[in-house]
Parts: sequence; C-alpha cells; structure tokens
Amino acid sequence: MSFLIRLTGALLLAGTAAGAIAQAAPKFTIAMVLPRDEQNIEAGYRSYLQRAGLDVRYLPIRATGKADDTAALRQQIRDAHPDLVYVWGTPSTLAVVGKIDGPAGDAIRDIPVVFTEVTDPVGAGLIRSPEHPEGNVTGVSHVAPVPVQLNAIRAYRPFRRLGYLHNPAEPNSELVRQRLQALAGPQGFELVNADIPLKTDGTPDAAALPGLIDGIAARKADFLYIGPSTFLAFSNRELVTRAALAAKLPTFCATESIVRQASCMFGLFSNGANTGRFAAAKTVQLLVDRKPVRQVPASTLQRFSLLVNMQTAGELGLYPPMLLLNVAEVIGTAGGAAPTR
Amino acid sequence: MLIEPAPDHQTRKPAPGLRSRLRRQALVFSALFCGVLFGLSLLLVGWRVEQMLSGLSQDRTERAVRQVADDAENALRLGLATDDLDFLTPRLDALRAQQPELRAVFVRARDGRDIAASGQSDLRSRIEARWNTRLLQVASRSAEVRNVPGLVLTGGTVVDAAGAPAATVWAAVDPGPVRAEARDAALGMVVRAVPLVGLSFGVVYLLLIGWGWQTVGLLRQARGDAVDADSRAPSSRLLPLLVATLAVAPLGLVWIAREAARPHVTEQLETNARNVAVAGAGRLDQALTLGVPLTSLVGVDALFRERLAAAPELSSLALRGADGATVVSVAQPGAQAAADAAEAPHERAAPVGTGGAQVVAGVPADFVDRALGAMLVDLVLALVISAVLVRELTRGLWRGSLLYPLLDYRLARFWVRATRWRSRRRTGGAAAEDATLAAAAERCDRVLSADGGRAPRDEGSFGPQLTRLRLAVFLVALSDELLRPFFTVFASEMPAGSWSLSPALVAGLPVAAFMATLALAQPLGPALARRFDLRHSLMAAALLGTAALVATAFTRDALLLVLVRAASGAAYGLALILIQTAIVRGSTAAQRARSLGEVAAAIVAAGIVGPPFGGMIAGRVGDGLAVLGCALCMGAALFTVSRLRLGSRSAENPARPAGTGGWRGYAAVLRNPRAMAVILGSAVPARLVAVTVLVVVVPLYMRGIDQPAAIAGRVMLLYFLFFACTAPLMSHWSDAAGRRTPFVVAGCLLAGVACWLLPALGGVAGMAVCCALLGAAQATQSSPQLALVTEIFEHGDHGPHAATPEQALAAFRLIERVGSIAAPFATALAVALLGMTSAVAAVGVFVAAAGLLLWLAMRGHEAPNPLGKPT
Repeated sequence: MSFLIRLTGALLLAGTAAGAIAQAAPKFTIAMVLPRDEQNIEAGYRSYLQRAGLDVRYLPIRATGKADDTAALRQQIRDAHPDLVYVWGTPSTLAVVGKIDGPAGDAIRDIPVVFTEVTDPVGAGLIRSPEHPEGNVTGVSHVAPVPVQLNAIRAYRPFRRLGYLHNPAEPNSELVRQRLQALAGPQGFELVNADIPLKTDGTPDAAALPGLIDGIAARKADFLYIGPSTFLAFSNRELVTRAALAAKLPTFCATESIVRQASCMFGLFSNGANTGRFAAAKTVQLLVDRKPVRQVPASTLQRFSLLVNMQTAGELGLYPPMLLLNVAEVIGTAGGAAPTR
Repeated sequence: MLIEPAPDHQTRKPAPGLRSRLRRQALVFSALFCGVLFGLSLLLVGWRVEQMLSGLSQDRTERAVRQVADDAENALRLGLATDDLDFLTPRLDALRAQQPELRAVFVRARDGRDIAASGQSDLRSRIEARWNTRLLQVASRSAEVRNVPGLVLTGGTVVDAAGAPAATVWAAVDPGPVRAEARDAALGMVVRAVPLVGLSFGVVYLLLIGWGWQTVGLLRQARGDAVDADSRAPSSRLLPLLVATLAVAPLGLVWIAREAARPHVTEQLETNARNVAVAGAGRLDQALTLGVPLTSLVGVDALFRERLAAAPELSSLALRGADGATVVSVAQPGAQAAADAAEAPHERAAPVGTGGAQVVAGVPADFVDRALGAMLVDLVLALVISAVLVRELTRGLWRGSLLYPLLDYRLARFWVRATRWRSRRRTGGAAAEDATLAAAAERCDRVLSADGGRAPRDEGSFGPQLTRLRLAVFLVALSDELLRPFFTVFASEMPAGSWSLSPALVAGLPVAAFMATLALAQPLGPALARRFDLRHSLMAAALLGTAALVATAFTRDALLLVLVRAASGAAYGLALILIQTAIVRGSTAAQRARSLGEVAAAIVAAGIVGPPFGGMIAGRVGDGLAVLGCALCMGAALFTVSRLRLGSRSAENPARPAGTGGWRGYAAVLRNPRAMAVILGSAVPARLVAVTVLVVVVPLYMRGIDQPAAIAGRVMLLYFLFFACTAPLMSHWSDAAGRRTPFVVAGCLLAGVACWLLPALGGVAGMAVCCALLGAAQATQSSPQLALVTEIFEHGDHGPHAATPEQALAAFRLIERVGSIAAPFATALAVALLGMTSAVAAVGVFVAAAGLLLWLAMRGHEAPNPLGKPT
C-alpha cells in the first residue's frame, strides 16, 4: 500500500514537472513583413513550424514598398520585439535591413531576418556570401539557377537561339541577360536579345512588346526566355505570351504565375509552399537550434517544379517529351486544369 | 626399387583380408568424396541459381520501390508536404495487384510514422529503425536490401525539394515462391545428377582400389615379396579414361545445373518483361489522358531508353500501333537491331489506351544462355570451394584410414626421387629423405599387418594432433571469414548513441579493435602456455571467442560492438598463437615448416570457403543469425581443441629449463639480428604487399577499370587458391632441403615480380596474374620464414634472458602485424605520389630489395640443418 502511495506521488510529481516544462517551452514571436496578403508560401512556412512543434505568435506587418515608409516599417518591427523577421521579396527585404555595404542607420541589424522570394540576394546587396551570410540576414531564393533552367528548356527541345526581352528599367533583367550571355558560348547557343524601349518617364513601353517579340521570332529564335521580371512576367504576362503564341514562338518562364495565369508554354521554378517550408527550416535552425546566422546559408531549393501549359503546347504543336511529362504538373488539358499528380 | 625397409619389418606379413579392408575403405572414401563433394556443390549451385532467380525478382521490386519514391519526390517538388503523401496508397494497392509477391509496401516519414501503406500491416514492425535511419542518412537512389527470415525487405529514399531525405519507401517481398522455384530447380539437378554421382563414385572407387593395391605392390616389391594382382583393380590402360571421366563429371554437373535452371530463369525474365511493358504503357496512357495524340508523342524513345537502362535483362522496348506496325523501337545498347529484337521469341505486351496500340518488351532469345553462361564461372568456383571444404573436414578421417599411410609412402617415394635428382648436382638431403621413406614404409607395414579396419593408433606421433590442430585453426578462421561478406554493413548500422560517428567510422572501429587485440594477444600466448596447460588455454580462448560472437549477434550498440569485437580479436589471436605454440612444441625441426604450413593452409582454406557460405547464410537468415553461425564454428573449434592430447611442456622438450622464456625473452628476440632481419626483411614486407594488393589495390583497380565486385572477388580468390596449392609443396621442399633462407628470399623476389606484372600486363589479366603469383610467392616464404625464426632460438642459450621458439613466433606475429597496419598508409602515400599501378610496382621493388638485403644478412648464418633430426 505504501508503495502504491509512493508511486502515485511520484507520478503526480512527474506530471506536475512535465506541465511546468510544457509551460516553460519557448514561445517565439515572428514579424511577417509582406507587401501583400499571405499566400501559399506563407502557408507552407506556418505549417512547417506548426509541425515542428513551435509555439509561434505571428505579427503581420505590411510593407508598402515606398521609400518614405522605410523608417516607419523598421520602427514598427522594433516595437513588436520579434525573435525573428520573415520578409517576402527583394524590395521589402532591402527596406528592412538595407544593403549590407550601406550605412546601418536604423536598419534592422540585430534581429535575425529570413527572406523568401529574393531572386539574387548577393546582387541585391543583402549579403556578400550565400554560404556564410555575414550579417543577420539569410533566406531562400525562389528562382532556379540559370543553367538548370537552360537544361529544362533543352530537355523540352534542343535549341540554338534563345530569345530574350531585356527591360533596362529592372536591374534583375540585366543580371539575367549577363548570365545567359556568359553561358551562350560554352553551351553553344546564341542569345537573340531585344531591348524594351523606355518611355519618357523612364518606364518600359508595353506597346512595343508585340513588335519586339515578332522581331525575335523573325530572327529564328527557338524559344523566348521570360525571366523573373515583374514587368514581363506579372504586369504584362498576358500580352507577352499571347504575342509569342501569335508569332508561333514557344515560351519558357522562370516564374509560376505567368504559366498558370497566362499562356506561357512551360516554366521551371520553386514551388511556393516548398519555398516557405525551406525558409521555415532555416527559422528552426536560428530559433531552436540557436545557430548563428552565418552558419545558416542563404540558398535555393534543389528540386524545382516544372509546369506545362498543355493548351499552349497543343496550339504550337509542341507537346512535351515523355520524360518531362513524368515529372511535370500539366495544366490546360481538355478537361480543364488537370495536374498529373 | 628405391629403398630397402628396415630388416625387422621384412618379416611382417600383411594381415589376412587386406584386400577387403582396402576395398571397404576405398568404398567409404569414394562415397564420402562423391557424396559430400557433389552434395556441397549442389548446395552452392542451388544457392547460386536461387540468387539468380531472386536477383531477377529483386530487380522488379527495386524498380517498383524506385517508382513509388519518384512519384513521392515529384509530389513533394510540386508543393505537397510529406504528410500529404497518403495519396500514394491507391498506387501502392495497384502495385501489389500487379506484383503479387509484394506482401506490403509502406511510405515511412522521418519520424517513423507510416504515411501510406498497402498490404499486411503486421510486417511494418519487421523493418528495424536502424535500417530506416541508414536509408535516411545515405539518401542514395540505389535501394537497400535486407533479408530477414521469411521476408526480403527493399528500401528506397524519398528526397524533398530541398534535397533532404524526407521519407522512405519499403517493400516486403515473400521470397517463398522464388525459393520454391529454386528448390524445384535444385531437385531437378539432384535427380539428373544421380547417375553422374554414381559414375563418379564408381570411378573414384576403382581408382582408389587400383592405386592402393599398386602401392601395396610397391611396398612388397621393396621387400622382395611376390606381388599378386587384384582382379578388381582397373587396368592401367583404363586409367586415362577413368581420370578423364572424373574430370568431366563436375562439368556435367555444371551443365545439369544450367539446364535445370533454364525454365525458371525464363519465367522470371518474362515476368520482368511484362512488368516493364505495363509500366511503360502506363506512362504513355498518362500522356494520352493529358491530351497528347498518340502520333504526337515526343520522347518515347528517350523514355524507353531510360526504362531499358533500368532493366538490362531486356533486349528492346517497342511501341506498336493498332495495325501492328512499329511506331518506336529502342534496343538495348549492344543488343541487335531493334527490328531483330522485336522478332525475338520472348515478348510481353501491354495495351496503350483503347485504340489497340501496345508496348512490347522483348527478351533476347539467347539471354538465358548468356545469363547461365555467366553463372558457369560461379558454378566451377562452387566445386572448388566444396573440394576445399571436404578436404578440411575429412582430414581427420583420412589420416586414420589405411589409405593415408599409403599416400604418405607414395609422397615419400616422390621426394626421394626429387632429392636424388637434385643430388646429382649437389650432395646432402638424400639421406634424410631415405629415412623419411623408410619411416613411411614402416608405418604402412604396421597398418597393413594390423587387424581391423583402421590403422593402429600411434600414441607417440604428433600427426593426429596436428590434424586436430589444423581443423581447429580452420574452424577459428572460418568463424571470422564467415563474417566477412556482411560484417561491415552489420556494424555500420549500429546506433552510436550520443557519439556523433559516421557510419564508416562505426563500421571501422570494431575492425580496428579486432585487429589491435589480435596483434596484442600474440605475446600473451606463450606466457599463458608457460603458466597453464596448453589445451586448457586453447579451450579458454575458444570459449571466449564463442561467447564474444554470441554477444556480437545480440549487440545493438556501436560501443558495445567495439568491445565484443575486441574480445573476439583477443580470442582469435590467442587461439592462433597457442595452436602455433603447440605445433612448435610438438613438431620436430625436420617437419617444422610443413607443420607450421598447416596453419597458413587452414587459414587460407577458411578464406576460400568462408565468404561464399557467410554470404549465403546471411542472405537466408539475416545478419544476426549468421553471426550465431560464426559462433557455432568457434564452438566447434572449442570441441576440437578439447579432444587434443598435448603432452606437458617439460615432457615435450626436457632440454629447455623451466626458467626459460620469461618476458625478457621477447627482448632477446628483438636483440637477435638474424631474427629481426627475417621479421623486418621478409615478414613485414610480405604483409605489406599482401594487404596492399588484396585490400587496397584489387578493389580500387578493378573499380577503376569498370569491373564489378564479383570479378574483383574472383581475382582475389586466385591468391588464396594459388597459396593453398603451393604452400604444402614449398614447406615440404624447405624441410626436405633443410634450407629456409633461399625460400624466404625467393618468395620476396617472386612477390616483387608479381607486383611488376600488374603495370606490365594491365587489366583484369594483369591483376589476376599478379594475385596468383603473389599467392605462390607468399606460400613460398610463409612457412620457411616462420621455421627460420623459431629455429634460431631452438638451439640457443637457455635461461631467463633467452627466448624460446614460441616467444620468437609470438614476436614474429606481433611485429608482422606492423606490416598490415602500415600497408594502407604506405599504399595511400605511394598511390598519391605515383598512381595506382606504379605504386604497386614500387611496393614490389621494396619487397624484392628487402629480400635481397635479407639474403646478404643471412649469408653463412643459416640455422642448423634440421635434417640432422629426422622423424
């Protein structure tokens, strides 16, 4: 009997201790800095942390993208006293932390920052080395490396001429053009470039796009490459892809929405949910494993999503090869959007 | 007539009924030889056939697992989380419907939860956590295969979009049907082989009778007695025919095995072809569903090429339209043209869509012949391995038979002839051989004149004890050799607890512990033998080894495994050095080399027999039970040593005072320039070259020239076979000649030549010649160098500062291990500086130079001629 009492007492003590530990489990505050509402990338981020057992309080903070609002944005973050800042996109990230080589000022340099959907963090001046980020910033890029993209195009059809629309108003556009140009010689293709004229206010002229695309087709480009350009792949995606279709020019896109929402023939990119999960994995390393930022490399996913618009492919008579179909998500089939898996 | 036996034996008459005794014993040994040899061969051949059938079945399972893993990876790439992979369950059901041998398929998350499953749920617990952990650690695209009783488990890794292992896929296959097929094939073999076994039995019987009676005749001739012929002995004219029949019989067995396996192999191949056709048709169906017209399918040839690369047993894949016309056809690289392959007799088709199109998988008509042809080498090897095993296990019986002294007499005659031929040019040695022949004749006379079926027990002779000691060495060595095929994997999966050790390190530590304690046990042996009864010490060592192996079987912790393997190493090392101590004590100097050669020969025999049987046992019953099999071997060694009759130390060598052989004796060995010259100039370089070639160069070189591991294994087997064939001859020759140094130096030079032949010839042939010659080289020097070192101390001073031969032997074995330890480092350095083949040549130069220096050092210092003390 006394043994039973002692056992019960021990169990009660153990239960109380476990409860105390559970109560003492750290609760993290994460500031979510977004220029838009939450999407699948943030859903992936949250679900990963939830499955990892983290107790997280999320504080949504809207980034306007205006330079004048930068100071207020930073103050808003400081007032929230977050353990970590999650930020989406290059402009928002620059607004939060500034360029690494620029003056610190009131930039957030003392709180870990995890970015997503930054095309080129080194080129944007956020970090100097992706392998060992020096400051407080690390994260996930969403664009597949250019050589991987070229391999995907080649897997669809071999090509000798690759069309490219260059937007002088976007720094990313020049960066991508330089990379394509650098790869053209070694990989044995010719870059068929067309510069988008700028209007008097310095913005690119969308009206010139059909003509430029016709010109690229006339110069016998095998594909039109549409990179991670907001002007081409988001603002004028319908215009660009329709013009290409009219010119019987197959299109390859480095972002997802232009394939899903417009008529780009196929694209290779990081899936949003995967990008969010990968960013969450880095968050766990920073908050739970207590790793310093320099030990959490800024990286991109190793596997990318291939999306094929079968309607466009059918109109062009350029059906995807079987090996690509095995790994692709296919939309635009006769029965509507019908993913292969 | 070569020699007159001693006069007192001339009056000894053969016992009545000698002829019937000879026939009876010939009958026993013919039955034993044919029964065991053919039985073991059939077992190995049957196992090889089962391996082949299982391999074809396993190919299907691995493709299925990879297909599920690819589907899961694609889903993860498209944004699904690991927990969303439950959508795979219907696909797993479909897979099991297509492949009935699949009893269960699971997709398992990192934390061990099953996300998708199909089939028997109770089989999930058969997958050990360590296997799943290993899959997630290695994250290779190749499958992991585990054998547990009644199941074959095949695992694959699913990698997420970040390139990190996210889940595993496991398929549990019932090997019963394939094994039943293998049993059918084996039964077919046995039935067809019965006449062959009967014929071999008859031939061996006639040969033994003829040879035995001929030897009796020779003995009688030597005494001047009349010789009467045995009516049942075969005529000498029939001899070539009988020998040819005996040589053809094993080949007949191989042919029978091939033909018995043919229908089963064909069936497995056709099942594989059907599955590949169905899988290919499924992909094309999917494209049609997505709206791609059949005539617009792109990249079908690339898809077929990919599928053929994963199914090398198939000759072609073709897409045929509703009218039967070939739309796309792809042939296996190296096969005949696709059109020819499409007309191959073995085809399996699967429909595409509803329009009548088909995917057709072709199996070349000659595949079965080629596959079974490739198996021939393995079947021949099975015969060789069986012969070695029979030889080791029946040695004791043979030594107790009437035939053994007759063979001994014939061998003695041979050596007398050989010595006399050499004596034409040089004097010496013939007298000793004559004495040996007289002794052999005397033994024969004793046996022939004895009543009863067996030879009279010679209590004073060391021969029977040597036979048991050799059997004990064989069993001890076999207990370790059986582990060889699977121990690395077994060890690498041990959980390391809080130690963050890589699987390679976890696998390497037990091996290092075993080698270290094995080496350190060498000086301990003579000390134990001096203080305790030798037989009891041997039994204790074998008992420790048995217990350590039993503990190994149940160990599930890396650190504990290191400890039990260290205990195994100590037991193995003690057993070997104690047995050698017993041989040094029991054998005369005149038979020292050949007696010590028995140890090396037994270890080599275990090296030949152990790995294939170890692989077979582990494949059938799993690693843990296979380790228990090793413990059983060590237990058999314990039983063998318990039956030894070893005299007391003082009785064996009364000349040596009890104070001789303290620990200071080892210092005496180290101070002796001749002993150290032999150890450092021959033993250490010999170990260096052996480990360099066998452990480092052969695997790397063969992989470098794109040869599979099986070929590398066969090439290495040449080393052991040549060693086993050459060692008895060389040790006998050394004893007969009373010389050691020339053999040691010759071995070094031959090893040098072997190493130089690799760069000279190159390729598989170069490596094979190198290994074979190296085996012969090591056999040439192995026993003579041991005998030389012990003989140096045989007639030296006795006292507390003097070394005994046993201590010389222990010091030799300990320092010799330095060569084994240094070899990987020396090889790595040499390979880094010179490249693979040049490094081997450099090691060869080093060994040859060491041999020449030894020759210079030993000139005029050869140990006393042991032939002054004939047996």
